[in-house]
Amino acid sequence: MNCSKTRLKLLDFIDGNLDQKNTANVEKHLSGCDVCRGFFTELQQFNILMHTEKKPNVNPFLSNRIVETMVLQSDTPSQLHRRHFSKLTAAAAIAVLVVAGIFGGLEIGNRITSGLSSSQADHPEISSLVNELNHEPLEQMLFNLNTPAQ
Amino acid sequence: MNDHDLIKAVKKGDEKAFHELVENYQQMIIGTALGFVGNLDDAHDITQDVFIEIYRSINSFRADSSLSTWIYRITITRSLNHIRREKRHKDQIVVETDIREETSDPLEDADRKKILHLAISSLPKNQQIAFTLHNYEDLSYKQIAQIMQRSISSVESLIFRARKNLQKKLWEWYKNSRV
Repeated sequence: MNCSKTRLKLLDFIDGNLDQKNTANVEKHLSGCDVCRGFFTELQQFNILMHTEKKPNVNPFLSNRIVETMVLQSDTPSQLHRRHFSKLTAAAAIAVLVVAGIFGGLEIGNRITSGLSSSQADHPEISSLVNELNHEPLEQMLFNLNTPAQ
Repeated sequence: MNDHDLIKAVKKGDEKAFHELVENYQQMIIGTALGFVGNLDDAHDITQDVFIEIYRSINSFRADSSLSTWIYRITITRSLNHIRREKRHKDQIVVETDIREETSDPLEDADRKKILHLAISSLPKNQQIAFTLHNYEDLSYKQIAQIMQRSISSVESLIFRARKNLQKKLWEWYKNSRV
């Protein structure tokens, strides 16, 4: 077996995956070839490294660190869903309040206007006040109050 | 708690269940990530990223595959992204060889590790994935086929080619280091 053929079988040789005949051929070549033997030694070292890396030591605090980071960085899936939902609910509630405020205000305004007009006959004193305010706006009245009498 | 109950509980936001999920799968994720990146600190960072992704996307997990298959896929994607970010391309193995030539010190395990992982990361992506899952996680061809969504024979062929390519790359490095 020549060098290139031997080299291609070295990983299988290390893993014990070669049949008897090929194993014997590789062994024979390695015993007589310094270069291939040197490479074989290096491959063995790489193989040992791969095995030592297989079960790495896990930092015992890693799981705590991860969970803490998650809690700090984000919400749980259901919390995310809940938060999303609560934001939508809040927006909807605000919209409802605004609309209700506008309509409520208009309704109250209408009632006052219609109420006043119907009660003007019953309560002439209120009617005169309202009429007075209509004719004499509040700003004008306040201005007159601040102006010294001549 | 089995995986099904665990997923259900995590979806509901059960912090204890998530803790259990981390305990159950951290070793698997670190081992896989380490197989790809060859550095424990980086593997820990990737593990954290993987759990964040699991946490955020658990609602989209449909259980078409097993939980471990899904987690392996996330880990592989994260690890390959990490390698891409670190720009560990195949030319770097030459740089490592140059360092070896300049120093002429006996090769330390740390250097050997770097060379090994540079050689693995310079393999074509699918060969790299199949080789890493087989060699670092001891997964069967069938499990790898499920994770990679390929046939068993295709996985077998990927691993065979990966081993031959790796051998060639390491021989190139060894040959150059002797000059």
